[in-house]
Amino acid sequence: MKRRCEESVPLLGPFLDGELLEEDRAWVAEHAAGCDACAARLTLLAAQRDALREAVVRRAAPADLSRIADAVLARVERERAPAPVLRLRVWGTEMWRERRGRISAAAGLAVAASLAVVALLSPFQSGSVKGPLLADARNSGTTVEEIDFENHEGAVMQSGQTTVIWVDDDGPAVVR
Amino acid sequence: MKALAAALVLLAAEGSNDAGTAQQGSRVRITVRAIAATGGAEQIDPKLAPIAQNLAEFAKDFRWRNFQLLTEESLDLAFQSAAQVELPGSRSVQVTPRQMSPDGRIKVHLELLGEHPEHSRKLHTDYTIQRGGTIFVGGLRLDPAKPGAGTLLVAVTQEMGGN
Repeated sequence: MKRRCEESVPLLGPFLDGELLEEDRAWVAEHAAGCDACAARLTLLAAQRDALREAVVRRAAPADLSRIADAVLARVERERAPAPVLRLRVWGTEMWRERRGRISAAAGLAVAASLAVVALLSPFQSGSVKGPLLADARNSGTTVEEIDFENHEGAVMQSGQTTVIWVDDDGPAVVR
Repeated sequence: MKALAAALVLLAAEGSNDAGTAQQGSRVRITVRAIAATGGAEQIDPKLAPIAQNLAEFAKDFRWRNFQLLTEESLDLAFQSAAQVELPGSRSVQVTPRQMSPDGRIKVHLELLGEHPEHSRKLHTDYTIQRGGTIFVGGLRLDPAKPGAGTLLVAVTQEMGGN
């Protein structure tokens, strides 16, 4: 295969489909006009394309495709993201690319803070807990300043204005 | 004579220092009630009327609706003096008023002790409570031998009438 043919063969398909830029299309046409092999290849490709199209049309003819377009459009409508969400998604993507480091650090801090809050407010705490607990948060007039559930599970809870210290008698005792 | 005057001055200074913690010498009234909290018909024992509001609030968040008074003991305690109250099922609670804060709230140390024979400590806590306030300690089995029979609710009330 000539060097020019090696270059033109990958372009023959796109040439037939009209997908080449004008400069490339002109070059392939000029080459095929002077190259019997590439002209034959073009003829073969065109024949295959036409045969395939005919076969598909023939097989699809009995099928009722009249509702396909409506069904596809309806599905697209259902799955289309609302514009604000889409904008937010784009904004988030851009932010992530731009400030990946800072966002990662902030996310780490947020996770740590969340874990701290969960640990503080967890309804089943064991061991010694110091400092104002949940009971102080509702202005009930009662402040549990320090509590130690020994080897039981326990919690400090607030029922309205009433503070409830709950020790789980049936909970797992580490040492008996 | 100078020595006597100096001693008087020292005593006066000592007295003024104690004025800020004058509550240390006063007494506190604390009532400890042992309550059977069960899942029966919604009812609050009339004898629990002083803390009925607290129990009603408790019932909103917990599954027990029936509250019956088992024992009640009122204590007249000096600060720093501990009192132990026996609870059903050979358990007990120990209460020690620690001090009074400037806003009149009482700091209390509370220990909950388990059943015979270990009487192991189930929890100990320091809390501050206003006069007339009640704190609940719950979660112990009503009957240590029967899980699911209900819970023993201990109500510790700082009475209004304390000095």
